[in-house]
Amino acid sequence: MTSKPSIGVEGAVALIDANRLEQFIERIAEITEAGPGVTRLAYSPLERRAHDVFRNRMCELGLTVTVDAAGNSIAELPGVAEGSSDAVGTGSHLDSVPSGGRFDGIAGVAAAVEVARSVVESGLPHRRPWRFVAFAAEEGARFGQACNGSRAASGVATSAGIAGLYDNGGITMAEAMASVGLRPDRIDTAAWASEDWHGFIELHVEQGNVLETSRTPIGIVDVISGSSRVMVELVGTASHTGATPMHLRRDALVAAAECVLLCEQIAQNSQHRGTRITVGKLDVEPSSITTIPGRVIFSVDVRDIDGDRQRTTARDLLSRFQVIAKERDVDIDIQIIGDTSPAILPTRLVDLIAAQARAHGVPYRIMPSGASHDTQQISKVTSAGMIFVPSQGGLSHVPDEWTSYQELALGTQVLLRALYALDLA
Amino acid sequence: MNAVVRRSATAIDAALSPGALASGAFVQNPEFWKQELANDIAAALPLQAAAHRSDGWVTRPAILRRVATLMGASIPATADRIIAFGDAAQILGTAVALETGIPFCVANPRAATEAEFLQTGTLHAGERVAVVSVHLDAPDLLESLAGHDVVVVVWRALISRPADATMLAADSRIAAEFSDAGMVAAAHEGGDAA
Repeated sequence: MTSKPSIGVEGAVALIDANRLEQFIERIAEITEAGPGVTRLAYSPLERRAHDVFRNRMCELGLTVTVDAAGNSIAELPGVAEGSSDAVGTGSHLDSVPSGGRFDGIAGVAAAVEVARSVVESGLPHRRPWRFVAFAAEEGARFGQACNGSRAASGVATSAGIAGLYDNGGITMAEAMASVGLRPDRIDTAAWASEDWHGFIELHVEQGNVLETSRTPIGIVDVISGSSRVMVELVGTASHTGATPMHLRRDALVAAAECVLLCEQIAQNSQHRGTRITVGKLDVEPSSITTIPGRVIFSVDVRDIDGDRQRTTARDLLSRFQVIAKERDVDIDIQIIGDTSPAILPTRLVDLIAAQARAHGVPYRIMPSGASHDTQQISKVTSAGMIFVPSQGGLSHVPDEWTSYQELALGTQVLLRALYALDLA
Repeated sequence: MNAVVRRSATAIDAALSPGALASGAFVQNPEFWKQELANDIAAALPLQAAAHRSDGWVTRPAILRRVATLMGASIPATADRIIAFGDAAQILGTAVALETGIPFCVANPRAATEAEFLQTGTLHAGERVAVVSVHLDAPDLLESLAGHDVVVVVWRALISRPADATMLAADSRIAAEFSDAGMVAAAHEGGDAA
């Protein structure tokens, strides 16, 4: 390990380099399936290759790297305080959605690598161990469930619990994990112990446009939305569009359309400021110009920063979907596929990060996160905070996802300051 | 028309009650719900002198609403009025009154004069009252209320402190939802509050 006389936290912060952040992100972006943007799905060989890059960088810096049964890669830099084992941590994830961008998750891992490099090269003394984490399988795009690696770290995931998760090709998550050398049968061993952690701060791209439109370079997250998700199947009668009179139809798509509009109507009323309801997937059968839709399957994603309101809204929707189905004489089958509570992040970490942003002379906003993040799971184990950096145009999960490397470097500098302050706290 | 609601065997945290589908989907396990509330209150505590300030959580509707639900559930149907006092009394009294539909008043047990005892609302002789407070820091409150010729049916505090143990043990009408020690631990170390 490189060891130099310490130049203090200001010196370490000054070592944060936008070019190095860019190099890491571009290197990871090369690890992708063919096609537009970045496709590096959860528990795929490509995701593991990205983890290999992370591991190699950290080993080059002299850190000790371990990979747990869930595929999380954890690099550790020992602290100088004798007997201090409760670590300060940072990190994010390396997988992507299909045809996604290069920053979602990767920005936080790049920031972790850059913080590790600056701490090692500056010789910045720190009392506690610092851990840098690349979580596995954060995106729910492949298996329908998000934050799989961090769920294992938080102790939520179990071998039995993941048994029913499978992708569109019928491959179970357990099979996918095993195929890349992981141990789904031992996923419970990936759980972190609270006493091993002092706190965790994740840097992430905002994935919205609040920071950009307000010309603010830093967001500090105080709450992460929860989500309740269902798949709804409506079954009517497929028949000839010309021969079937309107009053004799059992059109599943018309019923679904009414459900979709109801979602928007509820999410926009005055009792739901902060609720976001989305029908993001809708499949119509037989999908023919001349056949009345006989079967529709659609997803509903209810997100909220208020857990009770989130679930009350979801219950209300399901009840009213059934009324709509009855009125339109179609059958309805609803399957609950996910439910996660919002996470209120500790005020002490919000205040700590804000103080470091002020010390760095950077404007910031306190803001909620509408998207799920690994921090949501990690907050069950230790005090956790989040730093957002701007997303150009508010775009994410698309090839055009972009954050300027200068803004990412600024966020990484605030992250390093915050980790150092947390180390001393 | 056939209507079926099913729950995936996986992909759902333990948060949902196993019996959720019988009574409507997305009903949380009550113990898990209460534990999450404790964690959120602890997370919202301010940086300094954490345990004794409520403004970190009473200003967040996502927490206040659940506190009102929790405390409202322990108020018997026989209560005529809610009395709130102490830290954040105006906010807590309003929230629990909105939750239950029971009228409320705000009292100051330490008022120098009888005229200053009621800060908001009215209190009438013969009423059965439910007391709500964040802490149990007015040991002479019951005596004061007896002087107003009202019957205290329950006194529900949100957070008890170690010093409240004697008071809690002495009167079965008095209870607290959470302990101060658990809150402080959760606020400073992460994890679950007791």
